[in-house]
Amino acid sequence: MKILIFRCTRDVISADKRLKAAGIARRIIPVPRSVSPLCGMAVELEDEKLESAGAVLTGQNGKIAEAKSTQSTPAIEFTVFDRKDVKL
Amino acid sequence: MNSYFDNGATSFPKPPEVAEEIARYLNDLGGPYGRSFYTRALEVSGIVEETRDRMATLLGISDGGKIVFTPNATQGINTVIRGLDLSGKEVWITPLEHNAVTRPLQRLKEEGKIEICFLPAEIDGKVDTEAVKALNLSRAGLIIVNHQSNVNGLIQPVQAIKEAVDSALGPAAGPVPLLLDAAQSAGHIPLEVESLEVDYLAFTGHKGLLGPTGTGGLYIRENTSLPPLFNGGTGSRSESWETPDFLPDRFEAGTPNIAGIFGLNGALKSRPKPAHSRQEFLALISALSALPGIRFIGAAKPADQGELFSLTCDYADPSDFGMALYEESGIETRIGLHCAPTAHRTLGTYPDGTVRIAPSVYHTAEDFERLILAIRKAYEKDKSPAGGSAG
Repeated sequence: MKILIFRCTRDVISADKRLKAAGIARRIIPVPRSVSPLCGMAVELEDEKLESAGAVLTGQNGKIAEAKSTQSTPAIEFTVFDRKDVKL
Repeated sequence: MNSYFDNGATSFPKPPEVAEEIARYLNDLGGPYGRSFYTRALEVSGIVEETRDRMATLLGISDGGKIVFTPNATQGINTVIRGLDLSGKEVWITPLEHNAVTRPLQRLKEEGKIEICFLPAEIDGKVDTEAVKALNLSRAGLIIVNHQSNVNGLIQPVQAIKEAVDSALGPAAGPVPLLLDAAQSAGHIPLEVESLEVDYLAFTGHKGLLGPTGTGGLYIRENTSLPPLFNGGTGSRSESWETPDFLPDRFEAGTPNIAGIFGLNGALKSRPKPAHSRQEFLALISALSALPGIRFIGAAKPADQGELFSLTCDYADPSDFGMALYEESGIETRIGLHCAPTAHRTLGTYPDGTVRIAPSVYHTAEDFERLILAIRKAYEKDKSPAGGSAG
């Protein structure tokens, strides 16, 4: 499992929305204390989902799922950790 | 009859979804914005961000992250005025500015930091863009434009003003930021903020947007070195005493007015169709302008007229006239200087002020007809020897 940590709440919400629209299974977990002192939410997903999730979040390969055509699709920065390296 | 004509102060009624969403948050959902991970927090955070994105769409902004929530427009305006490095600079404003702009500027002036200069304007306060082109703006540090006056409803030609400022500055000069005060215009006048290329825009949620009090926001085109007005917890970079440098967190220290933002979202989701047409509003002001003894104070040209204006009466001061309107017909208005003494000086209504009429989208043509009758009745009451006081 991979854990994605984001810069701020807005980025987590935006990421979750994009991943949901792209049909990528994930769950919201607390930010692991051992990797980051950030408060709030992180995204956990299966290892094999990481590449497609990354494409959705960074806008690579045009695989952006957007519900609103008027919204721009800036890349959402995130940091990836491996679940096995993290204590929850 | 909808007798509430004080929507320039705060709008009423609101769409029912406003109270429903506030109640949903307070009664059913609760929970914080960010800071926590459980489903409730995710849902609440999602609504806050949805509201931000809805505001962005309404304002023609492609990235909702450039909107920071504030309790009102005043805080957003203060953030810009007090945050920019304006030492030794001139701040140019229109002659119709609200005290939300002039008071923080006055403070900087008293501190010896700035000079306040007025953009040249016509008799109704509309900026004379041809005259702006001839200005020496070499010391300008900030331009501030009240998009729609809260006294006479004049809508400033923002794009033309910006082009005129750029022309006056010349191609070699660096850009001078422009702050647009959209407190009265947001929700009433369509805005394509990115096309206008304004640098900052302050809005409030409780007037034309029909949201609750305690909501508003500031749009920041480029996140540069503007410091926040205050610092505190943001739920991000929590290990550091340093305030985050990214939007929106940089300007959203502390818990936001989540209940209010839910209400604002309710308003944005369910914007009502206007109950009157533009033609019916113009017919109203045409009829009022023709009433003997009543002075209509609005834009010189109908095309520049927002749906707000003022009146004075030749027989009574605004307090007596406004009181007569209320006592005789239940018409609710705001009387006086409307926190905009600068505008009243420009319009020749200082120090007595005016009776301000600010309809909402909920007013019908029939409401306008009754307003005209009420004004006639109040005028006759004040005019008669038995009623009202001498003007």
